[in-house]
Amino acid sequence: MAPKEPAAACLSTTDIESALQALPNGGWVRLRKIADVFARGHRIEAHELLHDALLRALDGCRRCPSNVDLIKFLGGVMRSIASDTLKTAKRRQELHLVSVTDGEESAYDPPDEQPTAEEALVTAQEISRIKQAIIILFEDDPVAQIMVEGKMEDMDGEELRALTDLDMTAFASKQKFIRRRINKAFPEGWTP
Amino acid sequence: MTRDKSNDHLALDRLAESLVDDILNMTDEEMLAEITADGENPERIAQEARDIFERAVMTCRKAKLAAAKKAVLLDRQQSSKIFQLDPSVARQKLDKILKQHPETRNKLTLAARNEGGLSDRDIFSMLQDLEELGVISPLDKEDGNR
Repeated sequence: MAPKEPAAACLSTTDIESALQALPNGGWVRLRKIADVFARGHRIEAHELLHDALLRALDGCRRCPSNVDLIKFLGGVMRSIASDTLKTAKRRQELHLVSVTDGEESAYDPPDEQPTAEEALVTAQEISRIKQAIIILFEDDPVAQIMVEGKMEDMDGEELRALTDLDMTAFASKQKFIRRRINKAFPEGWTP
Repeated sequence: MTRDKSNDHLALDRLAESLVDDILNMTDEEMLAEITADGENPERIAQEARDIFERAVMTCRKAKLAAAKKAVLLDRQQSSKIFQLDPSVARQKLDKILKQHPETRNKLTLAARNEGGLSDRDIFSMLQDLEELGVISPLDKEDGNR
């Protein structure tokens, strides 16, 4: 019988705290920049997102496998929290108390999980507008535009590199150019 | 999660992930140089992030302390026979103890001296304090009459 693969060991909360205590400036700047990216497009502030991700790692809610880079792990936690804000916001929007009548206790009206058709349409149109605005941002650079659209369509790096015919260095440099131009165009994010 | 988002929203999410991948692939030196070139102060950004971390550490420690206090209280309540007493019996017992120890009674607040104004929880808590201070001996099985 084949031996069972051992479960990946995880860093303890103390290990995480110590590693973060020793994190150099570059690491903190990187974490803050990742928070900026994931907060963009979601209803949460970057500093709040970073705080919540750190808290979940420190209190053991989220376990970091010891073979995973801590910053990458925290980035994943931020992505997950940011994504959850969408659901939470949707629920909050629908939550309200039914008015009190005949001396009865206030009743909780269960929220409808779906936004109204009008709200959904407005949000969808706004997201579509933002997507188009990002693509148009690279109208002066067809290679960058192909890369942006390819990333949006979930093409992997090698596939995109082959499509754009760029060598590794030029491809990395173009990625950096794309990121910086988007950051400049959307400093406050693109929350619909 | 996926079903909550439109295709356009998923496209923006994928773009965000690729931007983060780019950030993760940079060296610390490249990251700091880029921030400086953009006219930002990397030390200030790093310090702000560290402050957020310190705040998270404090929040986490406070939560752990609150959980530990709750566990101790629960353990204290479960291990003490006082909390198993009938509330009226506990009142009688406190009244009897205070009569036996007038010096203790004099040190109590007015509300405590008139134990009719105290809640059952206050009565239990006072009995427990008196037990811990050695004013009364620990309750035996006959006292745990519930």
